[in-house]
Amino acid sequence: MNNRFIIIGAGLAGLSAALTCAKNGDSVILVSDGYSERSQSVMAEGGINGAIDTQNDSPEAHFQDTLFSSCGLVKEEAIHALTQAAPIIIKELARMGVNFNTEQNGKLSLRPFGGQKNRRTAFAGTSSGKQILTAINDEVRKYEIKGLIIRKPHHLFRDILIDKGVCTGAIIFDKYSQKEELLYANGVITASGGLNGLFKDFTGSVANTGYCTALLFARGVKLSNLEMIQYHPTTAENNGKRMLVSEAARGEGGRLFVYKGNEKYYFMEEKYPELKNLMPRDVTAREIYNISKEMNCEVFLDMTELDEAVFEKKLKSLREDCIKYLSVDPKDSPIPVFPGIHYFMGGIAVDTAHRTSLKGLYAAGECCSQYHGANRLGGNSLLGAVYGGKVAASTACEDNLPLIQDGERLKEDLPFEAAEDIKDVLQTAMGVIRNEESLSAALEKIKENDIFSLLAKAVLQSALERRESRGAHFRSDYPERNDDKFKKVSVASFDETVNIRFEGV
Amino acid sequence: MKLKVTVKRQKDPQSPPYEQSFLYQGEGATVAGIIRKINQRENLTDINGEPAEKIGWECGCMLRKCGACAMIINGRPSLACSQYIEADGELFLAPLSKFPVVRDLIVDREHIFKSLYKAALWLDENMGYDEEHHAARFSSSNCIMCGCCLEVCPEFSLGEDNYSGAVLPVNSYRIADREEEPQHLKQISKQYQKAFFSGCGQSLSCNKICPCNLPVEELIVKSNAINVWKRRKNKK
Ligand SMILES: Cc1cc2nc3c(=O)[nH]c(=O)nc-3n(C[C@H](O)[C@H](O)[C@H](O)COP(=O)(O)OP(=O)(O)OC[C@H]3O[C@@H](n4cnc5c(N)ncnc54)[C@H](O)[C@@H]3O)c2cc1C
Ligand code: SF4
Ligand code: SF4
Ligand code: FES
Repeated sequence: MNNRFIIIGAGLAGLSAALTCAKNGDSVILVSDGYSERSQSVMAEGGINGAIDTQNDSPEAHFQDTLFSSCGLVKEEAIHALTQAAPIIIKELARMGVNFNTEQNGKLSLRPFGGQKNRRTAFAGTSSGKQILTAINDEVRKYEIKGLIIRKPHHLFRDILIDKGVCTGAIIFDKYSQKEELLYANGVITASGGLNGLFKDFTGSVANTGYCTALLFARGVKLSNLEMIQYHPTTAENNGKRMLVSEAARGEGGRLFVYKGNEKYYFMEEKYPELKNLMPRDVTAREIYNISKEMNCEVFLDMTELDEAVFEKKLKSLREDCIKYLSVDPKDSPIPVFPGIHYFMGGIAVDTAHRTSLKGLYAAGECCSQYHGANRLGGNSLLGAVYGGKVAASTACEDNLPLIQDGERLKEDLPFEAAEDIKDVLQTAMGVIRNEESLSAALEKIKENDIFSLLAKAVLQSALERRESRGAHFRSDYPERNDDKFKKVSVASFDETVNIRFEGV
Repeated sequence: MKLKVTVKRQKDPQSPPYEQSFLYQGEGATVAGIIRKINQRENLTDINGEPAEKIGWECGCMLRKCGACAMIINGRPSLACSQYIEADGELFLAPLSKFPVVRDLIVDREHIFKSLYKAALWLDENMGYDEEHHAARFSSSNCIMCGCCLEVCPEFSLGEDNYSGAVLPVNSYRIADREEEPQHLKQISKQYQKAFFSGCGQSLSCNKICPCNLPVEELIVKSNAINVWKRRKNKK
């Protein structure tokens, strides 16, 4: 009670954390580059996972699928708690007013999603992220009006304050007035999203520059599993970035094929008769990548057989986006697709309670490395964001650290974004398939020592030193998984130089 | 494609606005795609070869989902990421005129967000699910707070009266339709009449402009019915 917390990021994780603090009677300063409505969370389409269907599914099965997909790189305790909480969270969201799709009998509709044996993805058309965010945002307003949550939109996080090894506050910068502000708090929670800004091409928001993670790393905060970058199998070029064609397309019956002569060859169905087009994302992305290189051809996503009603009720905005941005009506013709950078499983290292390696600093949502290991299941990140935000905030409230109005900041001039050449280097070296030679060459090219260069080095070194293939990380020179040596988390730390260590989960 | 892109620019809130033109040569693209390409040039120069600062604008999703990139495009408010330009000619970009300019195409839309919390838009007690109004509540929840509907509204200006424009009825519907707590419903209705109903001239300029194709008129009619005329079919 009566503590004050700074939360950086107002996407789903930040909002969920803010609500938790406010409900506990603590006050929150919610700092974000843009309003919540502008955050990447609104882009999520497919849905959120939870074992709602008690007859055909269970939190235990959800746990097993998540563990399997993570290739052993997650804390079992953490995903156990996550999957147990999932049905409760979804029901809570429905109570808050999320317009989930439902069946005749009023029960939530569930769609099948990649890498999962049961139907457990609750959804709101193909606008799941936006619909969830709107409802949580409505809830947050209750506490804004009471003055418990104070928003600082159009503010960039710039630095943290550290006093004797404890994070005591943050420095923020108003993009509009160009003024800096220094804030002290009983804890800082970062919920600043993925590392999009280190790359050229990705499906997410261009507003997620990766600055927070880069800055924190330079300040000594540990990061983990940075090499684990999810390529979404089905994306397409759109105005200089990637546009996602949601997994919902395949969940509702879309099929992947290539032309062999005039024949359509459904390669995923042939190779994986059980899960077919809904294999985990790492596998599907590699299959698409490989077949397109081997046969030197385009890969298509075929939704032409789906009913008009399915488009209308379940895939409306997806269809509109394809027509607008790709000039293809998926009801009429197949869409050419290719894998694109979509999600960062790695990030700020946290313990099960979402504490980082720096006392007083917590992390939640896509910026942290917690629930997804080497490969994220579609629908698990909205869940991880909402749940992780809750846990991080509860921990911060419980830790109840004193308010210390003191602390040091970095003295150097800090850039706002990664330089273009860093993006080029990472985009090339951190592709779907990686190898020693290209990763080493890439490392050579990172010459500077600014915060983004340090983070770039950490990403490349993590990929270089994981000399095996696991989940999203595929090495052509080490194509096998090596559990003896690498069933471990890669941990990056900075202390004059960038160091990578492999630690037990 | 060859395009002359003219931007109405302003260094900061105090400085006077001026126009600057750029030459764009390349494939057809959205306005957002074109601005990004121009800003990615290493040494940006304007059409006369003079060095120029990068164009200030906001963007996020590039997919009509985040509302950041609203601006006036060839005289009409829209999202930069939703307008394709495919033929040679001229493109004129200006910031939304009803909000204070921060820099170039960036405006401060705080008013929109403030008006929603003043309107007490949250649920105290949710009535629960009903299929009948699902589609309208879904639309109400999909408003991206871009402000295009306010730009064209003859009654809206950032004056003393704090008139909300269509953003309030659009967003009010999902709450007014589900709220079960009578006191809160009264509070919503009172603020609604003050901030929206008493000021709206019903010209419906806002109806067709929405870049997300939300059924703005329908949501106004429905929100009025509940908040003003106290007609709610699903009352328990
Ligand atoms: C196209 C797309 C579709 C997706 N579909 C799904 C799906 O169907 N199901 C699913 O589970 N997941 C999906 N995801 C993933 C999911 O959307 C994200 O992982 C999740 O929303 C992350 O939420 P977050 O709160 O952690 O971060 P974000 O929503 O990214 O929010 C980050 C916040 O941090 C702020 N911020 C960033 N940097 C700074 C800074 N320097 N200073 C101040 N503030 C800053 C931003 O302004 C923002 O408010 C999808 C992702 C994409 C891109
Ligand atoms: S109907 Fe006319 S006055 Fe009313 S909100 Fe729409 S544009 Fe404004
Ligand atoms: S109603 Fe439409 S035009 Fe108005 S703010 Fe919402 S999305 Fe924008
Ligand atoms: S960039 Fe998000 S709406 Fe245009």
